[in-house]
Amino acid sequence: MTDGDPVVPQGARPYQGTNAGVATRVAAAAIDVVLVALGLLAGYGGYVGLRLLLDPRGYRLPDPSLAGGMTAFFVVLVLYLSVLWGTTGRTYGDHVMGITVVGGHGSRLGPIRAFVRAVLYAVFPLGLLWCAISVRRHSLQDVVLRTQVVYAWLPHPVESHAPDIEGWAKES
Amino acid sequence: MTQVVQVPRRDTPAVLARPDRQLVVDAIVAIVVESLGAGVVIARTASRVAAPVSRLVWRPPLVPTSLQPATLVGVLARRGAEHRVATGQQVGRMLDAWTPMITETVLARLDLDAIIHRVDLVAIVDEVIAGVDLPAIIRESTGTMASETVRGVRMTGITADDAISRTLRRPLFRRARPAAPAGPAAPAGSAGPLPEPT
Repeated sequence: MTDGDPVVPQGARPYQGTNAGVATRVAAAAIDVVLVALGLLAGYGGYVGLRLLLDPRGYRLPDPSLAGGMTAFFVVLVLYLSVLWGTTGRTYGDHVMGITVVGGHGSRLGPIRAFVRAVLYAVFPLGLLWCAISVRRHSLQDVVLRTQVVYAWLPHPVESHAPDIEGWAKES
Repeated sequence: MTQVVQVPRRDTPAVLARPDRQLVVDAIVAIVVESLGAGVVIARTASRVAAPVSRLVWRPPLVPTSLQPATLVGVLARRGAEHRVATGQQVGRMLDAWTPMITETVLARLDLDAIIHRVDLVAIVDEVIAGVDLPAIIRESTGTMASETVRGVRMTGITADDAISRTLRRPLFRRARPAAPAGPAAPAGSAGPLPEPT
């Protein structure tokens, strides 16, 4: 996925650096969940195919338990979210929806905070809905970890959002 | 008695000769420009001087208006325009009538199959395809479509965010203090201008 033209349209410019709302964030989260699920399915397919290749005669279709599947999904989701939030600040879903996760002052999340945030989202995803009624558009995880999610259509470094966020905070 | 001594001739290099040529060119340009300027001034003066005379010639006094040269020339011009239009229409009709007949006659005498066989169509098509960078065109159009789609999705998200914020917070914070004026850094419906809960 590319950003194509690096110019942000006129209508979206005032929003850059301001906190993203629930619709955008839920859409980004849905994209991430679907992506992780597809990745898991692909991994499972690869695993089954490899076993078939290695032992064609004794091959039996594995019967994964629901608990095992959920655990694998949880682990992969947490890894996916924590690595991307800790490095680029945006998952693929965030990238598609044009948002970035930043710290309180627009700084990039550290690895520990990104990991804890990922765990909190994987354990209690409904906390995301709090940003629908939060004045600051903060989810419960944002409140706990002092993070925020801002509109950032251009994938420049997350530090560059700091002035926008500070400026916005002063005006509000 | 005067003695003539032969002095060795010095060759003029091209570099030294160039300024002279440049000088001549500049002089010619100056003469042309000055002449044109003078011509314009003369023509303007002559026209200014001759204006009363020309007016007298075109509209002589004591001559009925219908017989004045200006009127006669005007009538002639109008008739000429009518003739021009009529002739153009006539030529158009003739071309409409004759062109298909002539084309048909020429085509009947031509062996188009033989002509086509003599042309290396494959080579021409290859050349055309090589000249047109199809992969780049496909890449560009696909990329544009993708970025347009992404932009549309993002704008839809922003609009939905604002709509949800307005819908949910209005009943929740009905008794809130008045909202701050919306600025560019705090778009309507964003977290900025919305009132704090009381």
